[in-house]
Amino acid sequence: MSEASEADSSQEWLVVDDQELKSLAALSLDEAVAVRRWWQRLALSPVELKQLTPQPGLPRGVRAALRRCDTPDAALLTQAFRELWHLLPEATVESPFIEAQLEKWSCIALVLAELRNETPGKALAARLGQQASTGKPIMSELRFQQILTCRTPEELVQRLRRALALAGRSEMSAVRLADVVALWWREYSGEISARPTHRFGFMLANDYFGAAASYRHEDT
Amino acid sequence: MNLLNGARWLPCLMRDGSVEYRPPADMAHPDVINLACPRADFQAGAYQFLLGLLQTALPLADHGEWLDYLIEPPRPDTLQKAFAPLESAFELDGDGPRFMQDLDPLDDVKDTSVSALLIDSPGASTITKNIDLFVKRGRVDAMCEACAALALFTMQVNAPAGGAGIRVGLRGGGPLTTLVMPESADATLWQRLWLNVLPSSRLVQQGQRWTEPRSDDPDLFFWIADTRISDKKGTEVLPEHVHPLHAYWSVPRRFRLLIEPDKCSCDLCGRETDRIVRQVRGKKQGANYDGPWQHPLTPYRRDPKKPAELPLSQKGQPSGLGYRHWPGLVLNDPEGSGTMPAAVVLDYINHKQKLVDEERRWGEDVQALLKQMRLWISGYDLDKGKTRGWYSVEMPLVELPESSQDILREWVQQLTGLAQQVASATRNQIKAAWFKRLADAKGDMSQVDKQFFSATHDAFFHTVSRLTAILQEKAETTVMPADIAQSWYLVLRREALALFDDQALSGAQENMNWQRATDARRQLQGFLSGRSKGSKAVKDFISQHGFAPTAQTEKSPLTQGGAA
Repeated sequence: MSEASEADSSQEWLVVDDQELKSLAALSLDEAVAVRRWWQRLALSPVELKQLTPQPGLPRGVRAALRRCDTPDAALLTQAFRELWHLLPEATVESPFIEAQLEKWSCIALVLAELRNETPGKALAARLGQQASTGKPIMSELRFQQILTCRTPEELVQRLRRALALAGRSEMSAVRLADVVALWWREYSGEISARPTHRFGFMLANDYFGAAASYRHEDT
Repeated sequence: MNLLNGARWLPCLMRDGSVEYRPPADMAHPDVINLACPRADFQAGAYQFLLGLLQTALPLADHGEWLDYLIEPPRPDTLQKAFAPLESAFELDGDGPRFMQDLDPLDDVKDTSVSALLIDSPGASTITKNIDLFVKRGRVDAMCEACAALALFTMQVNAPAGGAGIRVGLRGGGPLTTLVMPESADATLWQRLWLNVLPSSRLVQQGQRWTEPRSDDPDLFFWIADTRISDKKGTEVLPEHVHPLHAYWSVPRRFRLLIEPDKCSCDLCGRETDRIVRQVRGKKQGANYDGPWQHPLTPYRRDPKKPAELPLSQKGQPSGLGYRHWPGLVLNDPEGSGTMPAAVVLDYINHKQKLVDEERRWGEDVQALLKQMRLWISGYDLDKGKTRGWYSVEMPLVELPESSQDILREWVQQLTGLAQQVASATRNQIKAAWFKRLADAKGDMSQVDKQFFSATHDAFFHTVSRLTAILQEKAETTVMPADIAQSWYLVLRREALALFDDQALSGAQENMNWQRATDARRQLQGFLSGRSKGSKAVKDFISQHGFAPTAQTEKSPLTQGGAA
């Protein structure tokens, strides 16, 4: 039994590396591993998937059903969500705040369904701050600020889905994307990190303006 | 009241925690462990009074004699006998010379409130303009003789600037006083005092001649003769005009206490008393001290590039007293940075420490409590006549052979130099996060520096003690060990970021200007890693000491592969 779990953990090591783990504020290692595996099976082609894991991919329709959902409630009823929930560690699914956990993870599922290609390690906001062909950031500062001030889960999902569309649904880490939603959720339920650098506003802004800083200074 | 003839006026803290009023001759009583003055500035004043008294009444031939008195404190009656010849100069009232007061009764001067003796009392103009907002009038209307004596002495030795003709103290207005103190809380008052007593030869400044102290020597106690009035040029009092011990008994101000018989309680100590001081008379043009004075209890600073200029006493500053001042208070460097610690501190580090160590090695039972020493720094923070605050701070002293002091000084300057740079970068980036237009933001940001230095205070002294341990082991070392340099750097980096996050990121999240805040933090990180343009100091420190700027090297096999 213990041998098996050791083998598991060495495999997990590769699924989410040290660097990426350190950049997470709201997901545990086990949750991060579950998220990545689930997203890979949901989004990748059988050829891509085969290089990463022996597990089979999910049928195409599973993701389509999830993407058609408008609300977190609707997502709860999809097979895609059930697959994700099944992968999550016991500590998560058996938490006493089961309602909130279900809603949080359905939001994560909804947002992740929009991602087509992954760049492990790269944050959503860093991608949004990247320079577009117009010379400006992919997402304007004004619209980025709206993400920072979302007040409801529905609004958050809607704004992140739009952000993903702007970003070409690629070039960011699925794990860090899920972390953004989980972090927002943590503060939404009233639990703000004592460390200011581990808060939703700072983490996103730091990535966004950090990416923008590399070309912004040349203008001024 | 005569201060030396056995009157029980000195508030003493006893071993059992009680406060007893005792005569100065009881200062060597084994049950007296400290003074217990009603005000913090009186406490420092009373220490200086007793030290002056010891230097005057028990002139020391050499350090050997000093050691004898340390091991075997004098009995109160021995001290009383030593004080007796000086008594006539320590009369607080009466028709003859009065302690630290004008010989002239100053009948032509208007009486003012006794609170004029307190440095933190508002002056006449403040009261007329009705601007005594923090420094309040009317708190002290009556003082007992004991408090009046302490107030008078404290005023005379600290005398701040007060306007035309109102003379500042011998060390300039509001100097710092540094005393060597035992670490142990139950050391006796005698031990606390005696560590700061010097052999007489060390008190003699250039141009001065040592003579046996006498109570009728007007070059020692100015008040036994007519005041040295300073209304004309050329009346300045220079060191060569006076007795070497006069530094302890300077009288820049002209005062007369009006002592009346009346049953009343003292506004300072609360004791009931039969004789009370409500009014004093003060006059301008007291002794005007000038020239290269070097008071034995005060640190000075000179400009090595301008050797002709006089050394200046170090003063209290609005930014407080922290470890960044420590090297200047402890390590002698007149040619480099120009700092000259107080004579008592240097004498302790260079002579007494060695002496006590040797004795202990010979098996002599010099109390173990004299092993660990602290530096007690006190003084006013004054802006001309305005009192901004009183500081009383303690810091560790280190045990170090004279031969290694140059190296330690250099190392400590590297430590504090880096800390100063990091503090100012942190302050600037917090400002950048707070304000849109930096040039318009002129607020006082020194609070940030103060917080930074206080957060790194313990680590600094820990680092210094590690360095001294190394110098004691290997005296020939000249390069600071890389791991010590690195751990200091990491402490500074951690505290800088913690302070920044606390000040710049902890406000209401929805009102945050995230762009300014995150940009500023990135700038600070760049500075701290030695990567940004302005961070030469950090880069140099890292390369000079040859360590990696991160706490641990990357362990992940993936990233290692990537790097190769």
